Amino acid sequence: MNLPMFDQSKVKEQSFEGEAVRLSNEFRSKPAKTIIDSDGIRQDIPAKIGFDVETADFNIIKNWILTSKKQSDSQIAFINRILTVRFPTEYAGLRNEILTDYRDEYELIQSEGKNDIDFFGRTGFQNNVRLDGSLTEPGRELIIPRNGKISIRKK
Amino acid sequence: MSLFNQDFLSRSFPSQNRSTTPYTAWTYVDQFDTDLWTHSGGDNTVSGGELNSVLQRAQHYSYYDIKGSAFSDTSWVMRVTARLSSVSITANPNITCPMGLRDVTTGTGSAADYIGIGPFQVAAGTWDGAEGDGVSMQSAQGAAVTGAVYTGAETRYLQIIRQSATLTDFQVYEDSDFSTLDNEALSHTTPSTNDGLRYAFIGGRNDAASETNTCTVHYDDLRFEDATTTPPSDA
Repeated sequence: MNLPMFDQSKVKEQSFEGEAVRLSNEFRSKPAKTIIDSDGIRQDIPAKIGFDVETADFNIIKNWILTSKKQSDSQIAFINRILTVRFPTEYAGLRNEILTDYRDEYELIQSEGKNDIDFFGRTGFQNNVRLDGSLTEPGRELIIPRNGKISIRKK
Repeated sequence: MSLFNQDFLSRSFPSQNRSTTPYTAWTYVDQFDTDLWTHSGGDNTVSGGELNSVLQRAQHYSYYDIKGSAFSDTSWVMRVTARLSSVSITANPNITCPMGLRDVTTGTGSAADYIGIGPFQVAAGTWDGAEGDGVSMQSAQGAAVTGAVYTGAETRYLQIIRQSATLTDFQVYEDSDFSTLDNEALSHTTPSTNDGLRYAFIGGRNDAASETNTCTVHYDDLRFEDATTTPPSDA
């Protein structure tokens, strides 16, 4: 299934939704552009071929996992959560291709997966990147105050 | 017999200054009492309780493995005092000497991940955020302009908060209590692949072939806290 496009008006928010928007934007195609830098020198930035996580085919996303050279832990967790929501059957069939040390996380993502923007965006915040606790720093807690701006503090 | 030594009544004590604040709530602190940094080039030195950077040549840098491992990829806080003692802006191109975290210790011309803040001058001088994701520091500067302008010698209190994998705040304060912003705080979208940041790093950039711009900045009271977005108390 496809997801509705994420709301770009949230891109500056310090929230789960804002984080999901920013992470999703890291995967999107970007047009070539030319800028004049602060030295007055022209810089030509080539186009980047990417995809929309909300609508891309399963194999396109899978190919990114297999071939992208630089991946952050948050990106990996984010894209795996997207896959399990959008393609639950195909994603479940990937078990033998998942690295052994990510297999616990892979199974947790399937069991806890839900079509919820917060589920996707959590992967950018301290102690929420992975469900298996392997990137968890003890003694930290995530706070969502009334203004909605997420913060991390020591317990 | 008195419980207290009466001699203390007439004894004078040195006044407390910033460099003697213990910052006990912070886990990683460097007040530059001794030189723990590795320097490349001769522009950066640790003396007088400060890290002094006299920037007039390209690509001199210094680093310190302050934690011994990488900081969190999603949350950390840095505070540092930056005292500009001289600024000479006579021409464009750029000059800058920011403080921050970097993932490697190689020269500033090599590809690296980097987040920092410091003085930046082109036609004018501003305190700017600097950020690079797999690029040289020459490409990383001025990514996040705070709009906090300097025109000469001044002291500012700089703060970076990595709020999440994709969001970093750069803040310039006028006071050591970090209560009065010099200008509006800046939230900057950071690539989540800007990760593995480990080394406290100060790196210079000067694009000037003629090297006419110069900048002298003295850093003190550098402190980091990992895996949080809430600065500890400075008491």
